[in-house]
Amino acid sequence: MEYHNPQPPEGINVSQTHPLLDFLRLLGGLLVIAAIVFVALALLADKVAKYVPFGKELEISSRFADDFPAPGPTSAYLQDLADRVVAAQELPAGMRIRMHYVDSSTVNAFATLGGNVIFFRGLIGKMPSENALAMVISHEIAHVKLRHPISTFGRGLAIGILVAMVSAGSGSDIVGRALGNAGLLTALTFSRSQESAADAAALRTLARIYGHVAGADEVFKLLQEESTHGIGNLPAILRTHPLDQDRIDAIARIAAANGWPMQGQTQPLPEAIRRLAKESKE
Amino acid sequence: MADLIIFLALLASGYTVGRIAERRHYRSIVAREKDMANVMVFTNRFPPLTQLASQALVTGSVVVSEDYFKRVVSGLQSLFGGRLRAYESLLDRARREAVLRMKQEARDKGAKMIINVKFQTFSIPGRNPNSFGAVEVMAYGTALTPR
Repeated sequence: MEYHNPQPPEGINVSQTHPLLDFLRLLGGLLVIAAIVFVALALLADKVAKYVPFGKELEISSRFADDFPAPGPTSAYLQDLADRVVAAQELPAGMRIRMHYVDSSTVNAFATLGGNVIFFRGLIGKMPSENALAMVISHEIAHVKLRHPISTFGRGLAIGILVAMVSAGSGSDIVGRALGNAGLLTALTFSRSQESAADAAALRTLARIYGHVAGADEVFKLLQEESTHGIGNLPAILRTHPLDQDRIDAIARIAAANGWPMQGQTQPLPEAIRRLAKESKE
Repeated sequence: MADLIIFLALLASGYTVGRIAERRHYRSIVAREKDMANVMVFTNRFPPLTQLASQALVTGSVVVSEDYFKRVVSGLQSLFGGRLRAYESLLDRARREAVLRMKQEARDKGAKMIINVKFQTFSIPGRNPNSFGAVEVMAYGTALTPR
């Protein structure tokens, strides 16, 4: 009897699908699922954040306490102004605001977890009046009052946990790294609707403190000038902050609807603050 | 950002290098399979030859590792389930290469056939899921040389 081993045909044990096609199909599927989960988690975090007690927020923020700059005369002045804003804005009991001053030319201010509000010298130096500064402070405090930092933080946390779970499920950290690390300490950015809500609350506070809202729109006029020198003009839909012109218009609309005068006597910034903001260590 | 660039660079190099190596390997496998067709392979335990033959154990072993691209694709695939296509060609190459090495050993001994052929695999990194993926495929059997 004759024996022979025939050569088996190719392609039985190996799929002929192109590996790149396979990869793109998997990646596409994953991105669609990730997008759905992302949106669902973001909505959920927004809904749940309101029920997180402020004490918890303080607990979380106490971990970063060492990162905040040491208090000084400028932060004391900011704190003083903030205390007046807090009284006018009627924050819930137990919610306290702590102002921090950073000696840096960055034109920025932001609110973060635990009622901590950080102001940069660059922004204070640009403020034409105390009223304008109070507007910015009110705006940041309104973020805290409306629980925006904790809801943004919760969203980041939920997504971070999701990424960790996915990467654990796939048996390696590669997928997790590819999806990007939704870290805990990334800068908290707020949505446009959150910014608009904070603007409206800040305007109400300003009217309550000074009896008029003069100076409120100066902040955004300043920012408008800044941005024309800056990154350039992105279309409105791509920006998280409502366009400055839109915000100026919104301020005028809200002021008119509530009968708050747009004109009035504005308070100048104390001489010491103006000098400090200009003559810095830098 | 630097992480992402490194990741993409590894992915691209894993894909191109892995693909080139795979094509080259398949060409070599097909050519050598034709070359060594005269050494026959049987899974049967009993020799088909009636004449007396000397017997010897012959083995062929291959250790094969995934590339970065295959690793990422299989990582993604493991989220959804289904055929791990990225690994199919890898293991196919490993099996055929192991048989070829076994045949080579048999032919060097002057054998005409190998009976009772079996395969054995062993995962090199063991069960640690975060380690690299590599597997040994070994083919072994009894080579029969006509006396």
